[in-house]
Amino acid sequence: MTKQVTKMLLSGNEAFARGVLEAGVDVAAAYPGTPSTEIMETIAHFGKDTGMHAEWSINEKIAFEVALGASWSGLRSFTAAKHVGLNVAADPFFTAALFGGMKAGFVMVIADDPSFHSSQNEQDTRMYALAAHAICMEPSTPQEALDMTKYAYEFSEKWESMVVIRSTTRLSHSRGPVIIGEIPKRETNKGEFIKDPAKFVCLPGNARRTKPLLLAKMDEIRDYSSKSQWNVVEKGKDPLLVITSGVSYLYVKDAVQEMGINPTIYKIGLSNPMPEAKIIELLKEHPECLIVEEVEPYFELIVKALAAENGIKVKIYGRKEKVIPISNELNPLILKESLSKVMKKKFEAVGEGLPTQTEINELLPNRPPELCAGCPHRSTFYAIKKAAKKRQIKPIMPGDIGCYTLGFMAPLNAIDTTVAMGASIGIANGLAKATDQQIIPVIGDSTFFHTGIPALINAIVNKAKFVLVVMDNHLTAMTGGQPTPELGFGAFGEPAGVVMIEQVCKGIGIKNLWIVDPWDHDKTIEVMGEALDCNDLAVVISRRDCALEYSRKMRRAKETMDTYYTDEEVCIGCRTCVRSFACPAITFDSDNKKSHVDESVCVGCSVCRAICPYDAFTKR
Amino acid sequence: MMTDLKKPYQIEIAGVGGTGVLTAAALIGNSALIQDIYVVQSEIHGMAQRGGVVNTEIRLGPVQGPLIPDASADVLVSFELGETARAVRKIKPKDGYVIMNSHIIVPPSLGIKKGAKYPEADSILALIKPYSEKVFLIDAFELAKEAGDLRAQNVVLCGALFAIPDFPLTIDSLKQALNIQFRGKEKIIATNLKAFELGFNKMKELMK
Repeated sequence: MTKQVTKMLLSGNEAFARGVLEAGVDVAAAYPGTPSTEIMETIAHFGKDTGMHAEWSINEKIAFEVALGASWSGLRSFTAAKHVGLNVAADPFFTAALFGGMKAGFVMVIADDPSFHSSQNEQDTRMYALAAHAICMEPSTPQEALDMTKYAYEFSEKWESMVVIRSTTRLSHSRGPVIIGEIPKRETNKGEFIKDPAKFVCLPGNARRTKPLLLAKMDEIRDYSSKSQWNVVEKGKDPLLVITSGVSYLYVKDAVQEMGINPTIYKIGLSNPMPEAKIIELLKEHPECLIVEEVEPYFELIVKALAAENGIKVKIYGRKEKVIPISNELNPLILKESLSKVMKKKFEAVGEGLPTQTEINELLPNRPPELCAGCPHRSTFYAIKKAAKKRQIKPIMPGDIGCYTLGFMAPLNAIDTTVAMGASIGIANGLAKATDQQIIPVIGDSTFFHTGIPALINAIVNKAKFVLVVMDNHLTAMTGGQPTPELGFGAFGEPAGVVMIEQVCKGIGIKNLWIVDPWDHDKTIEVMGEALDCNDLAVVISRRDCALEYSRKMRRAKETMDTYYTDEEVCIGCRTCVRSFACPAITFDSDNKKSHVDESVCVGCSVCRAICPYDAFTKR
Repeated sequence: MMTDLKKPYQIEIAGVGGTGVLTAAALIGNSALIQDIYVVQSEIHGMAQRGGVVNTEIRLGPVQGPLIPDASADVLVSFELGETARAVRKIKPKDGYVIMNSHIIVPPSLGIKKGAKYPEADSILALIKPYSEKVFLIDAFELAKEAGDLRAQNVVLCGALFAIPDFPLTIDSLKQALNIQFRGKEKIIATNLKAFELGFNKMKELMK
């Protein structure tokens, strides 16, 4: 991202970041989450010299509030989150939408994940915007991601309201050519908070007074929406009207081009408030309308209501008519089929008579995502299971969100519930009260700080009994290695404050606390045993660097890692290592009945040595 | 600089996390940018990085969205033998080129079930052959080893890609892209150039 180059191949997320930088944003805060993470990473990477403040906040709610505070102090501010991150920030989100009062632009990018690529649901952020009366915009391409972000700052300032930009995985993680502009130089990065309690104190009286003002403002923007430069009619010759937005618009264009048809396309970029006047006008001109959107029927509900309210005779096709699939992301092929149905054209399925995807997948081995070679989570899970087995107990293990969720996979089969960030401890509270079973919630370090702490305090206060295992790999690993509070550096890599998990635990009154290194397998089993035996609320911090980060560190230091190999004289082919431990570095040769270590993958954790009943693994 | 393409040219890259799919895609994408050819590409990050399937779709010319519809890719380049089959439905039946690595990566989860084996190459090819008459098997592992770095298998296969007749991107722009991507890392650039050349020549030889 240097100045002399004007066109770059950027991902949607990089383009959002570029837009933020070009808008001269002074405060940006986020918590990582796929598919939104790279926005903040890019801001941190390129914003270092601007004097701006960028931070990885402890959770999305705090990140949101950081940005809100900055905007209320007169600085342009930004936050980004994945769709479910907005759930965490939903409380201030609704109130900030109601109260507004932005002294400088406040823009957020919320990245939805249709088709559940890396998420537990596919909630549609536009529904949030609708419910909160928040302005919402939807770009289609990386270029629009940049342009719309810059525009959103002006729009936010004009209406003194925050602006939600809704992305989806296929925009955030797609690349396209982007013409970039200048990053402005600024004199100062400091604002000033000017007291105005009627605007910033959301007591019922103030809220009651503000609500009608908000609704009137949204009506005004609704009128404006029909004229917005982001809501564009592409006039066609066919009688069909297509209403669409985001990447769905691109799929429509691809399908239309391939089919050689020519419907009128209404591309909506400013999607809340909806351009109602324009929609009514277009519905009157067209006998049929197809609504193409991901993933909830947001346009569909509003457009159908508008047609009904205005007595317009138009046949509207969407999800309810099953013309568009009810869930998952769209693609050009789906669109071709949908458009064929509506336009009563013949749709020819491709690949007839050729091997089907199901036939292909049946032959191929599955490739589920898995814990890396040397991953401390695997050894922790294994030690928990061994300690439990020794005591003949079958613990219930509520899990959380992070790499360790993969402990769910065979052969570990170690996760019994996964709900939301921090929910492992919350659910454990409930299980402990509802059952007499032994409960072992597991949570990562970043997630512990994110939303785990209040649930642990709850356990102390309400006397819930379980053994919490904090899988502390010193990193927010699943999203690519963002710093946690224990590391002492910030988003730019600058020195930051430090909070250790054990400090928190001691501070809130945890009496039974252990810290153990999961690569020391025997010790970990012993400690887990003690924790299970103490018959009280207990916390075990299983602490060891993420294996990926460990190998990066070793590479940077130009140090060679230990590796292990199978002593084929000793290996009897019992398959314990592959059957129950499943380190990606270990495979089993079914011809010579010996296990084999791929030493290019091995990071030398030595745990295979501890778990092998015959001591067949040897240090190289 | 050349003018933009008259019709779309679409490249599907299939692989496994860690095989350099995203790096290869960036090289190809930047080559297009250097030639001023419109390009869009999609990729999926996140959970897939932990040993899962990773695919990237690159679309050049008069296209809009980031996804290649089934049966319309001009080329499928696969960095892992079996993964070629999983992505084969993307290619234009008959006309599409398939460039595949003969090297296999066995998923560790295969070891959990006793006796489970990685399928024979012939049975994988039997699924691919009905889709394409232009299947080229390349031992990128060996060629990358020859180039001096096993991680360069992706660039070996890029070399093969650029050897396809009428391929719209030039070797020159690829070299520029390589220099931009690994700026200042002379040794990596040299290794990758060697890997590219080995893949390019191998493909030429196979097509004879």
